[in-house]
Amino acid sequence: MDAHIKKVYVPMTETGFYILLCLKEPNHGYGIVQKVKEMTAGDIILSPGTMYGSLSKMERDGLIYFIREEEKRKIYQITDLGKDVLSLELKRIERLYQNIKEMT
Amino acid sequence: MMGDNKTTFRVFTIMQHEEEAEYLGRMHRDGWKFTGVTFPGFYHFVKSVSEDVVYQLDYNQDGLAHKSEYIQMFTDCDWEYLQDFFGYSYFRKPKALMQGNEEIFCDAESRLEMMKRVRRGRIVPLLIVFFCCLIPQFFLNTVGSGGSRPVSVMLLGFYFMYLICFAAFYFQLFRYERNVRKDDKGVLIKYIGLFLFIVFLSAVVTGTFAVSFRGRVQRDKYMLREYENGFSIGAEYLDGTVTQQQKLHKGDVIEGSFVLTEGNLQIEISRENEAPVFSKYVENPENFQLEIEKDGNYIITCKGEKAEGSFHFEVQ
Repeated sequence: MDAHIKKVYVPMTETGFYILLCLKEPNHGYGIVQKVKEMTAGDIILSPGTMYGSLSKMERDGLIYFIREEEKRKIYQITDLGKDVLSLELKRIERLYQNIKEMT
Repeated sequence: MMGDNKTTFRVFTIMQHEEEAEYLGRMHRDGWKFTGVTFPGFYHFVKSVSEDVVYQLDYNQDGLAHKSEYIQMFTDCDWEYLQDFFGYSYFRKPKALMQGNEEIFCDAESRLEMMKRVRRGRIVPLLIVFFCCLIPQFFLNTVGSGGSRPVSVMLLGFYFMYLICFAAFYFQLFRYERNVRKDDKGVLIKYIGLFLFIVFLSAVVTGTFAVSFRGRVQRDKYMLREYENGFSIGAEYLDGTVTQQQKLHKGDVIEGSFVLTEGNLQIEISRENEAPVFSKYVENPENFQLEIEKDGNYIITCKGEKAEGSFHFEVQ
């Protein structure tokens, strides 16, 4: 993983995190929005401008790849690089969680 | 029907997309629904019921290149696509369809990303024009040979126009970037550096302008000789005025004789605090006589316009 990717994606935004998490299975932008809404009981509503920008940026950086288009919706899936980034982020969050638990 | 449509003229600059969106929302709350914007800044509205609607602008060239997918994403999220205008896309969504406050961006990072897209699409071309055309032209016209004064004044004006535009944009970008990386000293240092560079460039530009301005304006160069009954001026270059006072009596005659080799010269003779009794553009060569009708202190003014020659006054 090169320095640029590390600098931009570690630590990750909540939006970025949920996109990568959801794209373990093929999905399109709006599908991710709905899934995140469901997963967070309506707390997190991802916005279309953010979503579109993040997806094109992640595709450019090789974290996700374009599979096909369905009814004007682009379907993406995570790449190996994306998985590496996601696991780094998961480790970071796990450590945060561990530390919080130890402190309280 | 008359009165059902309304058009306003507004100019929102590159960094005022938030103000613009707020303006459209305010109009909608006042019962004017936005129908479109046309060049150069006419906003069209139609009378409608007052409603709380959030307006948003995005700048995304990649989105415009893949328009149908781009718009689909917004439509799926209940954002109505309105139009494109100079690279900006306009969207709106009624508050009634929202849970809390919604915007088309949900985090500071993506707002900053948009500003960076604006920089790439709008500011960089301006910067290229600025550094590759405006600045070289400016120096050619000030320190270069054969430069033109009016052109360099105009270019200086452009310089400050561009500068204000860049400064406003980069200040905005700084605010967005601070929002993302609150305690990153690097961000602050970067923008302070940019600010100092702008100050430095402005100093060089205005300094160059001032120096070239002074170099171009020739100093007046003349010799004034006073005699008992008159005076004479031998001028190599006179672009200002020379005044002399003379006590004169009724019946005195002033004799003037002039040889003008360059430029123009205007002569005025007046009694102190009174309108001129004599005023004339000098022909070449010229002699005149003027008989004084009232006693008093008289002021003789020679007003040169790049004048060269010798001018002589004598009282008889």
